[in-house]
Amino acid sequence: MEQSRELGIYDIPADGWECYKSHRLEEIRNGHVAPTDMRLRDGKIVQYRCIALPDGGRMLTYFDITQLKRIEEILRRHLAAMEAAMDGMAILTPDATYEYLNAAHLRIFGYGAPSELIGKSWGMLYSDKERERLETEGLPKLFRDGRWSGEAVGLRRDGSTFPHDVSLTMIQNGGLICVVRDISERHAREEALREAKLHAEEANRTKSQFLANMSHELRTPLNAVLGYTELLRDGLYGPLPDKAYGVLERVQANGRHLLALINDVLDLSKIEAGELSISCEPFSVPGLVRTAIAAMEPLAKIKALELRVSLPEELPTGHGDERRLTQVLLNLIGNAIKFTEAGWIEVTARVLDGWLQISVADTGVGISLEDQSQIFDAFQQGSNAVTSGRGGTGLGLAISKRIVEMHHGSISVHSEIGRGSAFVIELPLNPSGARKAVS
Amino acid sequence: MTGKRILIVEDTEDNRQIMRDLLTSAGFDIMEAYDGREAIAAAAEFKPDLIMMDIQLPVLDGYEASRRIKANPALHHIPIIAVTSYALSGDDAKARAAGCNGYIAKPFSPRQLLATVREFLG
Repeated sequence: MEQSRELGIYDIPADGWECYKSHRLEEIRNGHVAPTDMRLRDGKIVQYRCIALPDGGRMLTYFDITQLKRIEEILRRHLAAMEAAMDGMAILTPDATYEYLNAAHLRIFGYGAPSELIGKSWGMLYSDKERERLETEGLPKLFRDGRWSGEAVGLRRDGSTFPHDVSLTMIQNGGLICVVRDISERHAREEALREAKLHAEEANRTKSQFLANMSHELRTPLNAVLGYTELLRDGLYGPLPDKAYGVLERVQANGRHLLALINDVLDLSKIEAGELSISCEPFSVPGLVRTAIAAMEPLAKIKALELRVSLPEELPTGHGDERRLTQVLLNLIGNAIKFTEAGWIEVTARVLDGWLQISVADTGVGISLEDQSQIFDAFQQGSNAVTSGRGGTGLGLAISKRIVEMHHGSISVHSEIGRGSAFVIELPLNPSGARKAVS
Repeated sequence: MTGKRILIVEDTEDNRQIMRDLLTSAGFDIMEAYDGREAIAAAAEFKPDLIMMDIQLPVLDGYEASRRIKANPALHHIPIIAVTSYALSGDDAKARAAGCNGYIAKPFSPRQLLATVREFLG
């Protein structure tokens, strides 16, 4: 013993040595010592035993348990981590009964002690219906992939239910690791958001319906204003002082502007309320372009602008709402005339990768990049439009964009200040084709 | 004076007056009705050469009045022009489906309305 002390094997302070030695000798005399852990000076831990042999001898054993102690410590820490976790964690046996549940798991399901659930089947924590659903939707995937996660509705001990995220992972012995997270709060937030969205949509529909009704109601008195004005100007009610003609012309111009506003607001509100239906009839593309050109030619002539058309000899039949597409073209050509002081306006149609492309290009003032980003929004015009008194409702492009999109097409603009603008409409040639279906 | 007779079906006084003033000064004889039911009765009684039919009308709307007039063999030949502020896509088709022969959207230009009337009455 003295020898091992000199070798420095035991980690015992010098003043405790005599006491230690007497204890040990006493134990050996008694012939039995319960397994005792001893720390050696090199950090190892040994388990010391003393066993009395039948011949009166003693067998002392020293078993190195350093590794075991280390593993024990790691396990203790892991267990503490699991117990401290906010998510519920459980280990299930291969026959799907609970082997271990952490504190959070018990709390989430409203239980007090692990003993209430250990050895019980997982099905206890779900309603019959939910259990069936999990068995048909979740478990097959778990057995196939070794893991599954999804949402489930849990059944608390007091009978109340709550939504939670659950993930299941198979472990080597055929058992399962189950992790659950209560998502009641998230669900409540999502529900509140959903409801707010429904309210907003409903309010928007009410607004659009109101606008549609109002637009319709406004047309009736406007008919009287414009009608009487024209009859007066035409001299139906007798001659008028010269000055009156000029005034009546202004009444008429303003009345027509009001009418354009009412029409556009009506269109836009119908579109936004989802009440504008788009027909899908075959139409002739050159016919569509020529109709629009013919209607706009007088306006172009007034400003001495050349109105060009460029159509290939062969163009396939288009499909869509010809009246509405004409409205789009009239709007684009009208804008081009409005914002071009000299030069030409060219309408081109061609087929590109299964798409019908119609473009309206001009040599006008052009549109700044900043303005390009918002001209398709309602009540936006290029910043120079209002101050320069070019008129228009500011709704034409917004309406055009929506009409083209209702045809599963798109509209875009290419422009540079002082270099003119080109608006391009792309429509699918396949009548029912959305963009993805074609490309 | 053409002596041709036109029935104006319209519930708004101002719009009636505009058409009355316009068409009388152009030499037509005018009859007036304020709702769809009156329109049918007036058509049967006066046998006009042309009917200007508003669509949104009390009692019986212009679509239904047109349908009933067109269903009557004695009146079937009378052309009907729908004059309506339902100026939406598909409204003209609806008017034609009800038997109307022409369609004018409100607000209308009296000059254009007169031109359309003359087309029908030669």
